[in-house]
Amino acid sequence: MEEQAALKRILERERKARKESERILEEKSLELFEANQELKKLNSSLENRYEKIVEQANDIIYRGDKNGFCLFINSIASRILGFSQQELLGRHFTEMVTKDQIENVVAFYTKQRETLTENTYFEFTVNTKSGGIKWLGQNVSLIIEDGEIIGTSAVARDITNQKQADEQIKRNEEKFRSIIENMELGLLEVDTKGMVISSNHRFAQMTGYSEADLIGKDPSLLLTDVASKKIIDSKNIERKAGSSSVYEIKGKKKNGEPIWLMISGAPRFDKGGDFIGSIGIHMDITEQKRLLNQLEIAKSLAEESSKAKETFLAHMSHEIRTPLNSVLGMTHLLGDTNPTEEQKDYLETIKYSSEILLNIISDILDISKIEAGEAEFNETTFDLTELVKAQQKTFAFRMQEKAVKVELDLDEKINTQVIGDKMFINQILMNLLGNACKFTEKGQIKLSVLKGEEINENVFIHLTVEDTGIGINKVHIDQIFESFKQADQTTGLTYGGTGLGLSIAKHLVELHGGEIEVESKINVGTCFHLKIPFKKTDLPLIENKPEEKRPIAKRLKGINVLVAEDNLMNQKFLSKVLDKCQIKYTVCDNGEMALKQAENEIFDLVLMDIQMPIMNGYETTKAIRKLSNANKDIPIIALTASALVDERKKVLEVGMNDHLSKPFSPDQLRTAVEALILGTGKVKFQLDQSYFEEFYGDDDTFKNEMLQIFLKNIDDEMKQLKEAVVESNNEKVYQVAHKNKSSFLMAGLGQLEPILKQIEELASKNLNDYHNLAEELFDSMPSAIESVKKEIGL
Amino acid sequence: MKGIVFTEFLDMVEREFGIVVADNIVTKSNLSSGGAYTSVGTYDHGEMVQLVTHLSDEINTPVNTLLLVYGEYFFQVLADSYPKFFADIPDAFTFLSGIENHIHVEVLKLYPDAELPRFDISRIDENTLQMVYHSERKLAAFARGLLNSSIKHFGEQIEIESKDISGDGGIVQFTLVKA
Repeated sequence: MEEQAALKRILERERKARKESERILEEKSLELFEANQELKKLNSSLENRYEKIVEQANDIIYRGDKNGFCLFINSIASRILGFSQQELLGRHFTEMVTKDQIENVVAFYTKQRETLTENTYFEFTVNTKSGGIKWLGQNVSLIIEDGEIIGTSAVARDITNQKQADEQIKRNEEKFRSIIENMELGLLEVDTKGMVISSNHRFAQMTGYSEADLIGKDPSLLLTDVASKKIIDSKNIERKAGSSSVYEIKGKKKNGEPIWLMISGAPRFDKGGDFIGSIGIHMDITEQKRLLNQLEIAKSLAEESSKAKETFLAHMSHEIRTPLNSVLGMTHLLGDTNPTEEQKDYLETIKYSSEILLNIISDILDISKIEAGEAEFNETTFDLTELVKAQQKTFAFRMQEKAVKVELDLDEKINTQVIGDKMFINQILMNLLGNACKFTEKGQIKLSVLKGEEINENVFIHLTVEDTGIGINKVHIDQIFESFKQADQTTGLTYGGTGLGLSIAKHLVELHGGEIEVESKINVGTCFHLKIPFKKTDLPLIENKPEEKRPIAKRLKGINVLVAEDNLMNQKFLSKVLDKCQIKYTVCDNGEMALKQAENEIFDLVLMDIQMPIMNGYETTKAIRKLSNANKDIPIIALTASALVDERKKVLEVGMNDHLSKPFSPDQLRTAVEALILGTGKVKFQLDQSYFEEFYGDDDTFKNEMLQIFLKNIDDEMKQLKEAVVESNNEKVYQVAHKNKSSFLMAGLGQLEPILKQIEELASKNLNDYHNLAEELFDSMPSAIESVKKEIGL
Repeated sequence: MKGIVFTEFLDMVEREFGIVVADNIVTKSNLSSGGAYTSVGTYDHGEMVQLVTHLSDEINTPVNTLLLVYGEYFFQVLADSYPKFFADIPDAFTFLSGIENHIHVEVLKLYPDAELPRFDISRIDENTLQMVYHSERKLAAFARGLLNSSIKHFGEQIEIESKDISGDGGIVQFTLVKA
C-alpha cells in the first residue's frame, strides 16, 4: 500500500520532470534557432561589407581552387586587364603572363606549392585583352588544411606606372653612367670617413686600382705625395660643410707611374639632409699637364730669347753708335779746319752716309721697342703749332735743292697748347714728311693741321701730309705700314731706307690713341690722314721767336764744365767742341773720378756718359745729388748711347736734367748746354779784370760807383735798344749802341762790346740785319748783369 | 547543481534502498523543485544537501559515507555515458593528471553552467600523484568516491591518503601512491 502510494508520487514527479525537460528542450531549441538567425544575419552583413571592400579595392582580388583556377575575382580586374569577370572565371592567371616571363612565374609558384609557403610576393608582366602589357605585383596565400592545399587567394596590384618610373630612373641612371663612362671620367664614391664605397671601370683603367682594391679604403693613401694628401683631406672637410669644388692633384698609379687628376667633388646628402659621403669625378689630365709644362718651358725659352734679342739690340746700339758718334763728330770738326771744296764734298758724303746709318739704327731700335710693347707714352703740355712750324722749316730747308715746296696749312682755331706726347708727334711727322721728301721730285709737300671735334676733355687734331710724288701702287698700299715692307722690292734699292718709318709712325699714332689712313695714286701723289686725340688746356700758345741761327758759342764762353766719359774718341770729340766754344772743362775717365772732382771744385754743368767703368752715370748722378757743396743742384746732361724711350725716362728719374743721344752734332750739344745754362742763369761773365786795373787802378770806390751807375741805367738802355731794333729804327739803334759801347767796357763787359760795335756799324750803314746780334746780346744780359752785381758784392 | 547529479542520486537510492526510501527522503525534504528532476535542468545545491541528510537519517548511515558511495557510483555513470573521455588513456595517473585540462573542459562543453571543483595536481615521482581539492561545495567525500572508481576502472593498485587542510572539507589533499 505504502509502496503503491510512493510509486504514484514518483510517477507524478517523473511526468513533471519530463514536462520540465521538454520545456527546457523547447526553450533551448528556440534559443538555437534565434542564435542561428542572428548568425545568418551577421554573416550576410559581413559578406556584404567584405564584398564592398573587395569591389572597391584598387587591387585585383581573387580566390582560386586548390590548383589556382579562378573561382572569384573582383571587378577591378576587368578594368586593369580588359577581360570581363565572366571571361576570367575558371581560368588560371598564368595564362595571361607574357611569354618572356612565364617560365620564371611557373617556377616560382611551383616552388611555393611544393614548400607549402603560406604567403609569397612576385612581380611579372601580363598581356591585357587589348594587347597591352601591365606589370602586376602579386601576393598569393595558400589555404592549407591538414597539410593539403585546399584553395588559394591572391591580391594583385597594377604596378605598371611604378615599374615605368623605375625603368625611367634605371634608364636615366644607365644614361648618366654611360655618359660618364664614355666621357672617360673616373667615378669614386666615398662615405663620411672618406672610405671608398664604389668606383667605376674607368677609374680602374686610369689608376690601375680596381673597385676591389679600393672598397673600404682611403683613396688618398694611394697618393704618396704628401701635398696631394693634404689637399684631399682639406677637400673632404669642405664636403662635410656641404660645398663642391674642382681641384687638381698629383698622384701615383698602382704601377707607380705618376698621374695628374682633376677632381670635381660634391657632397651627398640623404633625404633628411644629413651628409652621407661624397662623390668625385676624376679626369686624367696628365697629358695636359705635360703639354702645359712643355708650353711653360717653351714660353720661358721664348722670353729668354726675347730678352737676349733686346740685350743684343741695346749692345749693338751702343757698339754702333759710339764709333759713329766719333765719325760724325770728327766730320764736323774737320769741317772747321778750312777744308778744300773737294774735301768739303767728301765730308758731306761721310756725314750724309753716317746720318743714314744712324737713322736706320734708330728705326730698328724704335720698332723693336714698339713691337715689344716698351714704347712709353709720356704726356707733356706743349705747343703743337710751334712743333709743326719747326717741322715745316726743317723740311723746307732740306728740299731747297729739289725745288719742292714744303707748305704748312695751320688752322687758326688751334689757339692753345695741348697735352700729348711731343716726342711721338715729332717722330710721326718727321717720318711722314721724310717719307714724302724721299719720293717727291717736283711739286709740293703740304702739311695741314686742322682742329677737329672736341669730346669731353679731348680735342681731335687732323694732320694731313700730302705730296705730289711717285705714289703707291694699289697692290702694295696695304703693306706700307708693315715692318720692313716697302711698296715693292725695288723701292729699297732705288730710294734706300729700311721701310720702318711708316710702320713706326702707325704704331706711334695708335699708341697716342689716333688713326692713320693713306690714299695714293701712281704718279699723282700720296696723302696720309691722321686723326689724333690730345687733352685740352687753357695755356696760350708760345710767342714765336725769330728762327735765325744764333752764335750761341760765344755766350757759353767761360763756364766751367765737368765731363765724365770713358771713351777716348768721345773725350776727344767733346774736348774739341768745348774748346771751340771757349768753355773751360775737366775730363774724368769714370764716374768715381768725376764725383771726386765734383767734391773739390764747383762746376756749372756736367756732361755725363751712362755706361762707364767703376761707377756708371746713374750712380754718379745720385751721388752728386747728395753732395754738400753747390754742385748738388748742378745741371747734368746725360750722354746716352741709345735712343730707347725708357732710358730717356730713367735719366730724368735719377735726377739728370736732359739727355743727348749719341752721336750728336756740336750744335745739338751747344743747344742743350745753352738751354740749361740760360735756364739756370749760370752763364758767367769773366769780367775783364785787366781793364778794371787799367781804368780804376786801386780805386775800388770809384769802380763800385761806376758799376752802380751802369746797373742803374742798363735796364732802360736795353729797353730803348730793343724798341729800336723791333722798329728797325737804324738811327736810334746806332745811337743807343754807340752810347753804350764805352759803358760796357767800363763795366768789365768787354766780351759783349764787339757785339754792340757790330750792331753800331750795321746801323750806321743803314743795314737792318742786326736782329740776330741784338737777340744774342739780350739773351746774355741777365747773366752779365748778375756778374757785375757780384763784382760789387750785391 | 546539474540535474544529472540529482537524477542519478535518486536512481541509486531507488535501486539500493527501494522506492519507499527514495520517496520518503523527497517527501520529507522541502524542495522547491518538488523532487521532479531532469538531467538537463539545474537545481539548487541545498536540495541535494537535504536529500543526503534525510537519506542518512533514514538508513542510519553518515553523510560522508553516502557521498563516497555516490561518488563511486557516479563515476560509473559517466564512464558508461561518455566512453570518449577514456579513449587512448593508458592509466589512472594519466587520466587524473588531465582532469583540469581534459575532463573538465569536456564537461563544460556539455554543461556550460556546471560549477566544477578545482584540482591542483603535481606528480611527486613515478609512483606518487598529489591532488589538492578546492570547492565551496565541500564535497571532498564525493570526490574521493570518484577517485576510487577511476582507479578501479583502470584496474590498478593505488593507495589514497587524504588530509583535510581547511578542516571543513573545502580544501583536501589526496596523495595517490602506486602499490
